[in-house]
Amino acid sequence: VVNPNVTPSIRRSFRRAVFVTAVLLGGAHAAQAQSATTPAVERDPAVLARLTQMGDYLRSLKSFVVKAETAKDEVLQSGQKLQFAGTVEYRYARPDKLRVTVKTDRKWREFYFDGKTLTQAAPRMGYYGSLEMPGKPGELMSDLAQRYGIDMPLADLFYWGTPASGVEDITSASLIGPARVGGIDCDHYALRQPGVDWQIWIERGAKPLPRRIVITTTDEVEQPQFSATLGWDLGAQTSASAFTYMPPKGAKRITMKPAATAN
Amino acid sequence: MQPSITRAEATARRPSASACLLAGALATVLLSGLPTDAWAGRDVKNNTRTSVNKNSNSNRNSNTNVNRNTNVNSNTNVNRNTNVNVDKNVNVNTNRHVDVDVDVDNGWHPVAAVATVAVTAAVVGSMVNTLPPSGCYPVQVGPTLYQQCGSYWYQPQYSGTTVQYVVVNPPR
Repeated sequence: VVNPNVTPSIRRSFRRAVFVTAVLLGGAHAAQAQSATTPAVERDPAVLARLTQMGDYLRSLKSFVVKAETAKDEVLQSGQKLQFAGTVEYRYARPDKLRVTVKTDRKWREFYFDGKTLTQAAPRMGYYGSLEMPGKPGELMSDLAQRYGIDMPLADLFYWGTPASGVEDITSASLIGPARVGGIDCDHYALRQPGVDWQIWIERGAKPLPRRIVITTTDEVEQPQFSATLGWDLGAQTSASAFTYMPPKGAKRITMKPAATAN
Repeated sequence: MQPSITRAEATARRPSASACLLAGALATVLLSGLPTDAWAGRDVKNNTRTSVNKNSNSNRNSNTNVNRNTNVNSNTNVNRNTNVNVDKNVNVNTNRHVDVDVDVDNGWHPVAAVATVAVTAAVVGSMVNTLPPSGCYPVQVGPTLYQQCGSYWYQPQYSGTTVQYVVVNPPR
């Protein structure tokens, strides 16, 4: 029965008050339930052990080709996020041969490394630059970043299983649960460390390969993400000559500016 | 269409504007197209991590577009002050396509073209993203590659993975 003395607006206010109260109660209940079921996982030793197994397995491989489909957020100064798709391909032969192709809609670079000389080629522009940088791939990645401002995507593939694995930086490691990536059974792990939250999907069984990785940059307000889904070819053979750059006709050599003076 | 100027560019152009004025006599004007890719010239933070393990801090700012664009915008002032007949050559560079990361790619057109014209002065020591759209030829002098565009000389180099062009004095 509607009381004729109560105006429609008062009836609306009353209904809203009841609704808000219900939401608040429900919310409180949900929060309680969550805190009761979420264990305080810090560094789950089983997860760290699996990461170590993955690193050791990667380092045991004599050669491989891994092709990754990537998506990378770029943040404009306005805070607007854009996403760019791309591919990254690593062709590796132990101990120190590497060829990398990094392609996005905006840029195409090829890197050749024969254990001594690193060449960065820009095929569309017809330029290349070479440096003498003897070392293993992990050292190469670190050198390129520190000395030349070149960040190799998925460089972790060559840090894991080495003293530079960064496992000690991890502040939180937990198993999320089983998952499938491209039809392959994996386990989905979530990790946190200063500057990044990351997730990794590691293949189950005797070949603990990273099948997918998502990296969230947490020291940026917008928390941009980089994600990569990896396809592995462990039997791939690559002739030694494929790791040495042979300039195609018309390619021009240019210098690579050291990062110290990069603007 | 006027090229948009982002906050950081507007800030960055102040000091270099005076440098350009000093170099006024030197700064003969070339007309060149601004990057017409909608993405080009955006002011990107470029801080998205692509590996878990941080390689280094030093590369943080090496690839920002802020500095590269500085040259383009600051040179605009030079042209105003030297009263060059800008209008004469407007539309010269219509439909030019340049990648934001300066991967100039002839015949590859990811984004519909927008006709914009910027006035770029070749100030020795400055760096630009792109060369004038035509009339440039590679010239090898000893070990160094130059791009000669009329009476102006540019030395291409990698800064990180980005190719940039340093305006240099004629090497010969």
